[in-house]
Amino acid sequence: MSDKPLILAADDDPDILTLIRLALERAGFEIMGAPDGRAALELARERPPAMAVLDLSMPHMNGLELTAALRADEATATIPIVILTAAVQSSDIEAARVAGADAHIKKPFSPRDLRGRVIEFLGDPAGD
Amino acid sequence: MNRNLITRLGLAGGIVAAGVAMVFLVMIVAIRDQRDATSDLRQAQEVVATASILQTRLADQATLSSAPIDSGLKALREALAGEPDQLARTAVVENAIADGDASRAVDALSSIVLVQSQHSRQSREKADDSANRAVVLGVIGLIGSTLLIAGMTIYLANAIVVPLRRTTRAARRIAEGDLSSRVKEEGDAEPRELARAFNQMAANLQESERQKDEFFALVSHELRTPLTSIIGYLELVLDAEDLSEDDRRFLEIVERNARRLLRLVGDMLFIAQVEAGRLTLERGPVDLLKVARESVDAAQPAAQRDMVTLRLEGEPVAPVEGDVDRLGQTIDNLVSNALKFTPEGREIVVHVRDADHGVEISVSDQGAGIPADDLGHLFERFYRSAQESRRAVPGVGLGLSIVKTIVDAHHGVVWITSEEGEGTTVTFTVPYPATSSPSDESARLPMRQNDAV
Repeated sequence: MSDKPLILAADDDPDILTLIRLALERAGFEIMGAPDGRAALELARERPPAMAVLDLSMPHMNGLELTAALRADEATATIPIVILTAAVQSSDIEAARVAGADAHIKKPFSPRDLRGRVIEFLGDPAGD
Repeated sequence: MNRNLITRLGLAGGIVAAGVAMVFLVMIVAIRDQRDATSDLRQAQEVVATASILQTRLADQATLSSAPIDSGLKALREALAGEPDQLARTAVVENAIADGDASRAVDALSSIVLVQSQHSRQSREKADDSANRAVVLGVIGLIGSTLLIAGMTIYLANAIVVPLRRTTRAARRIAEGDLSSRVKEEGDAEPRELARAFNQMAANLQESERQKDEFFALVSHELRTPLTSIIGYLELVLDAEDLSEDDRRFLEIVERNARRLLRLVGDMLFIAQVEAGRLTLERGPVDLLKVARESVDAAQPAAQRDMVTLRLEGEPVAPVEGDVDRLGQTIDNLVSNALKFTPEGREIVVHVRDADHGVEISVSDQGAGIPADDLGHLFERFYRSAQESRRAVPGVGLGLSIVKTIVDAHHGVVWITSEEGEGTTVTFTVPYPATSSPSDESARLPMRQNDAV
């Protein structure tokens, strides 16, 4: 329906999910949000997104498992994936890399920074 | 089967004690026999000697009744006191002398000597027997006791020393961090009880460690999640252009406090991780001038609000090896401290310079300075100076302890100079990497408390 780049966002905290949505919609992206990994995977299979912003710890399927599942699916095998994490342990960040994530953003994150990271990967929809 | 070590030791000890007592008893009896025999022998020798003298005198004397013979007889009677048979024979000697029959007296004396010799031979034999018996029994007792004691020692080694060593090994493994270490619960009642208590303790330790980990994971997640929403939405609101001046100012205060709360959570978690020995450094090349500039830029709004000038002075420096986030946190903490103590209109200078073997960074304020009494305690965790408490300066006293922990982990040094009324300078160094040393990816942070400044 639109030519806006589609981004999959997943976070079990509805307020943070809305924050991601607001931050990115204002920059001209289209967002589909899910409260857990399993729902997010279903959405991605219905409409493959151009990028994914995923929380690390979620019920049913966590961010690492979801990343691996997205990587296993041909349609989403190469999309940029950013992991949001409150974890401060370097081992978790390393695990995200191993699972196939391209970048991680520490929580609490600045919506401005998130927007910047997404534009780094997809380009600025408002810019052209 | 409940084998009780005390009972067994008591039993073994009792047997040894009884054996030793028996040996002593036999030896005492032998010694007494020997003493009796010796005194018999001495008496016999005396009698024989006295009788011999008397015989000689009888042979020498023309007349039988004379003073030397009387005194000889008297001596003989004294020597034979307590032996009626022999006294009877002495009476025969006396009668013979009274009768003037010297040869009969000599014969009677000879029979006294003969009997006495027999006596002495008998008692010597008796004493010899007794001594032999004592020697044999003593040797047997000695060997028996030695064997028993050796047996007890071996038993004790197995029953006590072996389980003790086993428990010590497990305790050492636990001290090294392997909380799953356990001891086999076997052997006598007491060591088994020790092993059981030890295992119980280890299990409790493991459980409380697990709970602590869970708690910190929970705190980390549960406190950061709402703070993520608060700070994120504030930013969205502050991005709007139609805010009134007042609203913007109020929301900025909210944001500042939310960030303070966030930093406090971060500090607590940092300390918790260091305590658990679980904090690792992500090492890489670090440009400390760049890090310092970022810290100064980030603190600039706060400085402007407090009407304090915050300046960076520095020269380009070679990169050091370290954790860029942690080193940034160090400078952030020092700048944040300086801001707390610097009054309006004064200046804070962050200085980066190339020192002999590394980079030296100092943060100087023009605050009230720190009393000498407080200087030595500043790196202690949760230490708050009297000045901080009096002026109600916010903070829990973690900042400098974190600074010291991070600097220590980078093999640097940190020190404070301060003059009351003039200001305070905190300086730390991060050494340049030794050219030959291989860079370890993640060095564990050592936690040292109460180090002298």
